Amino acid sequence: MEVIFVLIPVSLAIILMALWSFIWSVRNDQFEDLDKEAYRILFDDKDQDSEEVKQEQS
Amino acid sequence: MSQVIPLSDYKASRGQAIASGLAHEPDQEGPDQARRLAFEDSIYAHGKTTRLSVRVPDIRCAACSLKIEKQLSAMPDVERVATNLSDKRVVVDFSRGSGFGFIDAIEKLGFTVLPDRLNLAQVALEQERKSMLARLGVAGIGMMQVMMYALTGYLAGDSGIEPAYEALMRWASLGVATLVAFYSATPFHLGALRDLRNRNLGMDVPVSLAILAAWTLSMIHTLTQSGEVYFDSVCMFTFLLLIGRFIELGSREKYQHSQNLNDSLLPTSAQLTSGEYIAIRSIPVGAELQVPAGQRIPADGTIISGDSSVDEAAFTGESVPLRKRAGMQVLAGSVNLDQPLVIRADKVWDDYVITRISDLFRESSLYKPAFSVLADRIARYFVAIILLMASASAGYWYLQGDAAWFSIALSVLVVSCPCALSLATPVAYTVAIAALRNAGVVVSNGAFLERLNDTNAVVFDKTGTLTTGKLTVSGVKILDSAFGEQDVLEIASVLEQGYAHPIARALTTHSGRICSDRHMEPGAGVSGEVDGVVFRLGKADFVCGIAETAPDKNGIWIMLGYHRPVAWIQFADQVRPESGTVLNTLRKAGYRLSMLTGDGAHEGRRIAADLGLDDVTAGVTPDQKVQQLINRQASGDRVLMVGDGINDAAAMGVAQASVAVSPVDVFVQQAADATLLTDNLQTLNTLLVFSRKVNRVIRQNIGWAVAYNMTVIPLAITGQIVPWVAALGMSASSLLVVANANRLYKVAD
Repeated sequence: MEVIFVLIPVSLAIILMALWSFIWSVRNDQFEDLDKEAYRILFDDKDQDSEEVKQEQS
Repeated sequence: MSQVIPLSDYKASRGQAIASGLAHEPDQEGPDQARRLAFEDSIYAHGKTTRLSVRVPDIRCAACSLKIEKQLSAMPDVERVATNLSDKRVVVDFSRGSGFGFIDAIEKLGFTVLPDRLNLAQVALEQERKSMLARLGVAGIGMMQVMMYALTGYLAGDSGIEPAYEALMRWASLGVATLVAFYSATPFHLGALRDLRNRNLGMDVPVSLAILAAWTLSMIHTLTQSGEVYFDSVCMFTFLLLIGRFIELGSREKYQHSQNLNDSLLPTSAQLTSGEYIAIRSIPVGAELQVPAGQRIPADGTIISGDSSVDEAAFTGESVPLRKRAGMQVLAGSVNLDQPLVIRADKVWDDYVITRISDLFRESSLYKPAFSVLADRIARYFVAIILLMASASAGYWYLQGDAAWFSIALSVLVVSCPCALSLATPVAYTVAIAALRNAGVVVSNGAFLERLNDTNAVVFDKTGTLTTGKLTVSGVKILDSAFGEQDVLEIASVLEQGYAHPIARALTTHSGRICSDRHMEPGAGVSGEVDGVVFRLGKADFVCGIAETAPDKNGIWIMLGYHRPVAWIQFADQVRPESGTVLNTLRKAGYRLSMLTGDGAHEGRRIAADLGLDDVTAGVTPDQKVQQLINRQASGDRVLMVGDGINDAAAMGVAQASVAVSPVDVFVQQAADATLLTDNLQTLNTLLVFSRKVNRVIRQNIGWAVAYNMTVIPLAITGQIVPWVAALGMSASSLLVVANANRLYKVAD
């Protein structure tokens, strides 16, 4: 069980990384408009769509 | 657009004007100079790139914003495109070019583009939102991790875990909780400091005190390897409270009072008679300006030439436009409806009537009666009591010679942690605001619901509030007995079919008749062949060549005829069908009702009589409305102002609480505490009933929280309570408060 003396500090390090990346993303406007992102998946690029359709057809 | 008769339903034209970006319509075909003037402030250097920031008011859904984003991202030299649905803003960073190409591209997609001025208040608020979100995230992540560490102890139960492991967990928790207590919880500490400096015991004081006390006690116990630690409570408490703060900030951000009335109503530039364009703020006195038909008048001035009708509803509330000829005065912000005008500016920008209304609103907000939220009033005593008890127990145990006196005092503070009390109000607000939004009411500030519940008088505006603000046919006077009323309406309707004018929209009688060879004479009327006869509908002299006077002065009369008169048709602004019921319900509930209108006394009294209102003041200007409200409040009334127009905005600022009924202007929406989106006055009743329910829930929550704390504190002082029981009770009481608030999720019972 002595490994826990290593694992807990490791968990703290991971937490610090998580916090850093979260704050980074807030500062870089990643959370500016949360409504929009939910819909992005519904608006695939049109050109890509038609190419895929063509590929499927051929 | 048909201009059968010089009039316009103000609301409709105003809405269209804003929606279609009337403010810069001339820019589209006019010289580039006007466009440059308009967007001067919207294009600026941003780091190595140039930034274009514009408002696109018709972004209504995520699909719109993604469409714009996709279109712009594909253009050359674009570094970054960001659209924001909630504040309807598009920002483009680009490396080369003027930026006007992007504006064209957005317009080509069918959207309106308005200039966006760099607004310091807006920037500050965005900064605050970002830092709040970062704090919230840190508290959330920290809470989860500390809970993980704490769980080992909880799972082990009575036997406990090995002291070495426990110490390790405590040290790790201390690290994370320190971050939460001193970074995430900073807003509470700063609020508490501000409160103390103002010699005021607000809600932030116990919150900050509880966080700091729990953290200090836990840290001491970690260092001494004794007692209990409360790091998980510190983190969870901070996280839950920050959620409430964050939501509150979000609603403030959307409805902040940063919008300037002039920006939303006035064009950005005006055209001089020489053809040059000039920025609106630098129009000198004496400048001669062209005002094309359908445009807003850019300056307060005198008409030099032209004969047109002007819609001044923004100032008077009057829905019928006024005829203006050379030598008459016009006001900036009113709409020139029929014919081009040339005006001479008489005043500088700062002295325009509309600028003064805007200033009046800003000043009027200062008159708002002082109001402290219930929780704050209670917190003041509660905090004082807690502090007294904690210091009393510290003193007692110290005199008793107990070495743990400091620890006991801290325990009292922690156990009496007013989690439930401080959650009681914000949680209820949060749920209530969400529920109201689903019911079609946008509330800009949760405290409005408490203030609303406190009102005992309601002041209504007339046009657009008690009335629909739209014209409808209110009477027909037959002049040629060969025609029946039905025939007249059918013929008139088919003549006007397809036009967007307010009169055309009022004529909705369907028939099998067909109109051919239709002609529209701007500013006079419309003609067309129906059933083999060429009919004319419009002004009397257009219809039959002679100026006949209308039967009376109520509403607007227009004539139908074929060389000779057939009938007069009367149009008027009708009382909303639900107004009577709503007023009756309010009267029964004991509210004092009155009406303030900018319209003439005659029309005002007619409508008041219809509705059974006794207290009517007609012909009031916006500043008289403010004075009326101040007088009423001085005599002890707590007034709810219900209105819809710019002329009500200043009065809304003064009133205890204010509600806007489906306003078209953003400015009015921001001036009011709440906005009814439903265009149905019945919602006002629902809102008042709901506010009573919200207050009941808040009282229950506060009652429970105070009762819980008051029972537990004596037990803690005498050392009767095991810390984990106290912690459990604390969480349970918070959960109860949250669950109780969730009952508010349905607005209508």
